[in-house]
Amino acid sequence: GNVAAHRRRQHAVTVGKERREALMRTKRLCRVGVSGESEVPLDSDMMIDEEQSILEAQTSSAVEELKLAVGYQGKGVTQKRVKALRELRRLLSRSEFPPVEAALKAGAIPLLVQCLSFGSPDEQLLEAAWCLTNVAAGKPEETKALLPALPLLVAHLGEKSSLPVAEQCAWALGNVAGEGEELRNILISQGALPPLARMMLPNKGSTARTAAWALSNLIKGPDPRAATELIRTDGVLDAILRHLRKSDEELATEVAWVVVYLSALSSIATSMLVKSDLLQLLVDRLATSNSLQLLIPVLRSLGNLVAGDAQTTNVNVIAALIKCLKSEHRVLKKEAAWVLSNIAAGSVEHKQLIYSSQAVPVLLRLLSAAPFDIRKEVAYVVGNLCVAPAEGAGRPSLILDHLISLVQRGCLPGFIDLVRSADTEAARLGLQFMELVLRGMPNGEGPKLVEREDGIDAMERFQFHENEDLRNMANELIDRYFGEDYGLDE
Amino acid sequence: MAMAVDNTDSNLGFRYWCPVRRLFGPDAPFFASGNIERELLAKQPRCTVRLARPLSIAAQAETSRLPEQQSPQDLLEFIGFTIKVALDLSEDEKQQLMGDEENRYYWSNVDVARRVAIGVRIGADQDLVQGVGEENLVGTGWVPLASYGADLIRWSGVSVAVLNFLTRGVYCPIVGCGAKLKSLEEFEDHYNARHTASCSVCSRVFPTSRLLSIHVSEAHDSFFQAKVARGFPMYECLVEGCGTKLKNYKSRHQHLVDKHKFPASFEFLKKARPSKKHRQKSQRKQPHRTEEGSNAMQVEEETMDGLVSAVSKLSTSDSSPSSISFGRRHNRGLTFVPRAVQRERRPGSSTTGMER
Repeated sequence: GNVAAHRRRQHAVTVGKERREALMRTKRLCRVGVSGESEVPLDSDMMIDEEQSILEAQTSSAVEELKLAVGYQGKGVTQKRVKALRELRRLLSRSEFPPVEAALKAGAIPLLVQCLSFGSPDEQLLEAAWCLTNVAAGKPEETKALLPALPLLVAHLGEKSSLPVAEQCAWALGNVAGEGEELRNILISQGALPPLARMMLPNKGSTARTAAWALSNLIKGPDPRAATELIRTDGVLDAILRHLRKSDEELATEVAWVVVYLSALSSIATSMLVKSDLLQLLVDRLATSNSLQLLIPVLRSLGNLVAGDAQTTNVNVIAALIKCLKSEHRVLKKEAAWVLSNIAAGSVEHKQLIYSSQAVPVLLRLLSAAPFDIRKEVAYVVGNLCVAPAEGAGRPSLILDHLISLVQRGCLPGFIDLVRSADTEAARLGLQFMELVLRGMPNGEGPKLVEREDGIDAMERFQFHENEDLRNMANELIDRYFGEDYGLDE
Repeated sequence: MAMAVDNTDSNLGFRYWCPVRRLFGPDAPFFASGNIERELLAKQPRCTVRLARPLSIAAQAETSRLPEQQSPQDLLEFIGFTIKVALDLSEDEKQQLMGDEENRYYWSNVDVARRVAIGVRIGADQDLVQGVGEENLVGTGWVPLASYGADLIRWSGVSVAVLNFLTRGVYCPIVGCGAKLKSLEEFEDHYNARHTASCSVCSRVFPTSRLLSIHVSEAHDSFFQAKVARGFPMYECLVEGCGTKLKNYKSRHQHLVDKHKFPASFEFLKKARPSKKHRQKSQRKQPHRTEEGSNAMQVEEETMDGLVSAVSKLSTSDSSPSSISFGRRHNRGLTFVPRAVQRERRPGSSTTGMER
């Protein structure tokens, strides 16, 4: 089952790649035509054009056939319609250059809408919905062309529809929702959410997966209302937990994306999710899965829950995050560090949890050797570990033993590197950590350590820097810790 | 990013390190690298799989109704029907097939939900495997043909069969049903009884019970019409959960367009245009009927429709009941057709979907 699922995903990605390549090829052809210089011999240009116009002609005639079939009233009407629909569907199902525009120009949409009328045979509904699915998978204006069909597609999600039909309609609607906010809002106004949510409830099956995927597109906002509506729908929370607990990785992936948006957009959803078993289920998936497609949304959901709710964490969470830090995938390392930084921004107990775990050696290694974006996140973790939660106004106090230990284990160079980076946020982090070191290290060791690691040099680069904040911060540190009195008592 | 509170020391205006949680919106640049592959999947077309090279097809007993020359494309798209295809397979190819982990599963991509798989049984011409579904393939000796989306069937000479609705029974595929049905007849009956929302008066079919119930009230209920005539708002909004009721069809339509962004041209529960025969009948009846507008006429006509033979209505009008595609009956192709209609149609009629 997993391999099939994997293959389907590969297919989707392959098709996506094919499309992009095809698109690029088209663009290249256009460029050749305009500029006059051709790497491609004229023959193949013309051949492509010919192929295109043959395809367009085939499409127009397929739509014509459909028009006749739709208008026909006699015996064998269903057969005629299904045959015509099938022909159009085949053309629209090519993975290279599907003739969507030609179909639209020939007037396919109103005909397809008629083919969706209630009581039509399943075959007809399925083929019509399939055609619409592929039209909607095209360019933005092509997706928008589905507007007249939307209420019918939504209706056919109903509990009395046959499963393949409902699934194909969900697929089409998922494409529409994937286009953008405007279409999403229209679908929500038309009541698309409840039936899609119901389709996600069964334990397995491609229907549940397609519905979850469509829902993830539908609720992704930025308006949070759809996310809130979804979590409030009966049975949804239970289904989410069930799928994350038991379902195959492909279905779990789609559901995980639903959770990503629920937890990112709706605080009501976050509080409901946090009260449930979800955290442990996410941790379990992180621990057991090796599928990047699954790990990304699961990790992110975890991150959103942690970011949204200060209480949420435990030893298992930390362990799962450590696994992600050790992964070879850049995204996982970066986002795991982000989650840890949020945990480390919590209570003293949380900081101790991280500090005493296996995380620290990994973090320190990443801080010195990882790509920039990961180093930045790790910097947040390390710094947060050294500073106590803020109490009211005034400077937060240090957690000295963490700071001393981490500095002794060599984290300072990493921060000074950040000071040297071009990113202002990173530079600020570096300067702020240096302040902690300068202030906190006992026996006046701070300035010496900073000097040894070329920290003064790094700070001096900001003396006349264009960014006022950074300039001020650097100058203040230099003035206070490396002023006229510095080095005099040696 | 909230980094600092204005926590200034009396000497320094320094912004000290202050641990805060950082929350990002789902579309924040922070998540961009993790979102790349997901963005590719924002829209997905459903593609037809193409065959690498044509199969040769030999007719078998069960499939004698099939025309000899069937294109491989058609073969793959055959939904839910039993066919057996004999191909020539070299020893190498057989070995490859048996040993190739990569090509474990293939789903007829037209029939995702019904789980009809095109499977390969090496060297055997036996009966089909029990059950429909991937889970039922495991341990049965069926080696599925190729991976979804890949270029397929480089091999020939292998018996290919489409799993279908079988002798030993199947579970009802409708969501949440789970009924176990031991024969095709049983399945038909079960399906008709439980899963169609068809109007008992005019036989129109609807995708939800709710829409059916709205239709019945509006089209067949004279009590409903009476209340409408007295000015009660009876026309319900079609969007579940809205609850609004309007006084007439038109204002309901307007509500759908204004509040729920339905396209203006849309018509769900449109009134049927009476056929010539019915119009003539109703004209004859005209003097006996009170003037109540088109709704009354509709009610009248629908009742008359009910008198017309259900079978002929089912087979000729385009509001025939939803069909499911299962079948191992010889006389039908792809669509599930109720027995009543089969009997009507059988003599010499061609079956749906067989023509290409």
